[in-house]
Amino acid sequence: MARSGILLLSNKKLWRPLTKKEMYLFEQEALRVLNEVGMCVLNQKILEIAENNGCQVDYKTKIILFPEYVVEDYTRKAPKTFRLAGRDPENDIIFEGPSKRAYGCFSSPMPKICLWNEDLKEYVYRNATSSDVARATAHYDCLEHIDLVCPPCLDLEAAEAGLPNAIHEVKTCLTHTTKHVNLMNAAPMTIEEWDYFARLAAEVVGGLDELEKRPLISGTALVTPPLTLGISACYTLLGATKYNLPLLVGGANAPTTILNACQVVLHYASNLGTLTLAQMINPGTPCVIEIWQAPLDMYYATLNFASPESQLLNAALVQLVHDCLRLPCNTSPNTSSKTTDIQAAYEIALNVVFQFLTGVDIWTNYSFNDQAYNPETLILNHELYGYMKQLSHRHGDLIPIEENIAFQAIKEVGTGGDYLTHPITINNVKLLYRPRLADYRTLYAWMKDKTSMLDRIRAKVKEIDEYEPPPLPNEVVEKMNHIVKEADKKLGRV
Amino acid sequence: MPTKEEKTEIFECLAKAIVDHDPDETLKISREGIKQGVDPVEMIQKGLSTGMKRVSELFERAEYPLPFVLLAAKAMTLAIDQLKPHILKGRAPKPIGKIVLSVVKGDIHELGAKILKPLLETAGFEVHYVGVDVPAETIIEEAERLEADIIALSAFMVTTMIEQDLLIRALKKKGLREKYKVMVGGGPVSDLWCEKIGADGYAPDAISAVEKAKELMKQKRASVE
Repeated sequence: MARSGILLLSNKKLWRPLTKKEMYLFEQEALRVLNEVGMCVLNQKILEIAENNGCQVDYKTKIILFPEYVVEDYTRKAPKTFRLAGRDPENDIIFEGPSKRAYGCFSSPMPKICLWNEDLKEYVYRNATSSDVARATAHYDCLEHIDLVCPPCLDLEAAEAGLPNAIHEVKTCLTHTTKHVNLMNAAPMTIEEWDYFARLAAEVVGGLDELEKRPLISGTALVTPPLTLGISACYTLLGATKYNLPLLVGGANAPTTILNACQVVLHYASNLGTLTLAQMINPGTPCVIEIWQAPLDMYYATLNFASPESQLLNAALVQLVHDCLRLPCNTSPNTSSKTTDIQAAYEIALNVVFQFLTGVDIWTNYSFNDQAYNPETLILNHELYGYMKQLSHRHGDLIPIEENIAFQAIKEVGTGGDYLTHPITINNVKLLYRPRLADYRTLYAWMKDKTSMLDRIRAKVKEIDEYEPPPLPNEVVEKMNHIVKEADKKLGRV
Repeated sequence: MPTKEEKTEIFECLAKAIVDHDPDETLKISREGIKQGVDPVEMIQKGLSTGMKRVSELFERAEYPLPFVLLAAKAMTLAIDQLKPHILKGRAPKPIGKIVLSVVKGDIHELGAKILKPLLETAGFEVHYVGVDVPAETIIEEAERLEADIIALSAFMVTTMIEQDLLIRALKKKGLREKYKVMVGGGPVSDLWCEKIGADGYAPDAISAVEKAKELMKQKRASVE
């Protein structure tokens, strides 16, 4: 039995801003970009693979030009159904085509942590440590609506010591969650890092063969805009595919041009290019398409994940990926607020609503404020995800069938009667939304304690701080520690 | 010879052309200034630099978008290039300092460095941008070759910031640490990190990086004296 996620609305009810003709034009222009401008790929092996598979490669500039037929042939090889496995099979995620169910990820691969300090009465930002990675992963494991995990913060201690911090983070995540782990944190500086990721996951699942059947981890290979696949992304493509692990692939559009259509073309071209390369390296690699829109604010030089432009671009790209590639995709919005305030609330709410309305398959909503993991933002995202889950669920009894219209009940209650004690109410009370954190009390009841949503969010943070995830057997953890030590020795740079 | 009022008007027009991020107008006015016999050094210092200072202030107040900052810097650089041949020998304003700017090994995120370079140049520094994914050895070699004053390092990723530490260690190993001021910046970089690795300066953004660079040059000159 896998995770259920949120059942999405049917295609006709989604927000699909593009017409069929517009989608065709975007697709053609993206192919044209790949054919005439190409992608710069900073890895010799991938350049050779591309050349051997029909692309034109300039080894001096490292630019690959992709003929249209090559992109079409290879993107078709990506499987439409696949599994992301969790340590607990109940936490598996099964993709069976786009826009069926949405899964909550809520990541935050950031080097700092932002915590409310009750004594100082202010938010305190500090560098993340390995304990923070453990605690934050436990938060993600604890929360019911989080379906998969990306390392919630980075182990800055390890990074500052010149150690391969991603390996430390992966080990910590695997020991602190029973959900699938996507390595969005990983920016490997060597290909060998992926051997260690695979070995760590294999210890948990029972061997490399088992890991292939039940992929506990997946990689993320993002483009550095515009149209450049950097060193780390190339190592991820090669490393993850070596072990037949799934990938999040594709675009990043921060910072880039201002015109929306141009952004869509650039981003979709990046998606197609990276997907094509992944399939060239290992045909049949399961891929989720990453849509990462963060237009640059031109006055503050900051990335803006929750702007109106961002929502529009996400909607257009989700539609393109779903209709043209028939693959699942992921969007990663965030709030630009620096604390858990009204701005955070409205931006997170808008993000979640638009994600639901576009039918995107994974919601990797970042839980950070300016490079710092903030558990309060996580809780807020989680509450709103639950809200949308309820909305989806209640769509079921909106359908005008006899059972839902309950005409007999209308006749029985008649005019001026009472539905409260009628079986139609009694039997369906449990359908109603019960918010975990929002306050639906009367004013009179509220006056007794005058607590706010923020008070309850902070109380919830304390609650999830106490959670202990199901442990791995000691011998497994010991082996994983040994693997990390070996990696430190071999790959440490200081 | 131009009158004081005529010179002031040229300086004001130059400053305005910079704030208007208009390279053509800037070049036109500087040509006009040369025709009128205005000292090109004064045009740079009292016209172009004044305009650039206003641009920096406006940008700091979020009243001036980034693309215009870069365009204004471009206008100033073009104007300076046009004025240089007219500067009398020995009268050319000396650069405040020489900076080798680079994105560290393993990192290809260069937006920050690209924004910083023209701002440093318009502040009076001579800047040599080495590029992206540059090993520490290469950066040090460039600094040695150019006799730089400051090495400025940008790292956008947690996994690449260690290269800033490695460069400083390499400088110490070569006995060159005291020769250069090292400033660091980039996404995950902080003042704590700067202190930890023994760098001389950290700045969270381009505007403060320019001020930090000026401060480091003052320190350097003071230590020589």
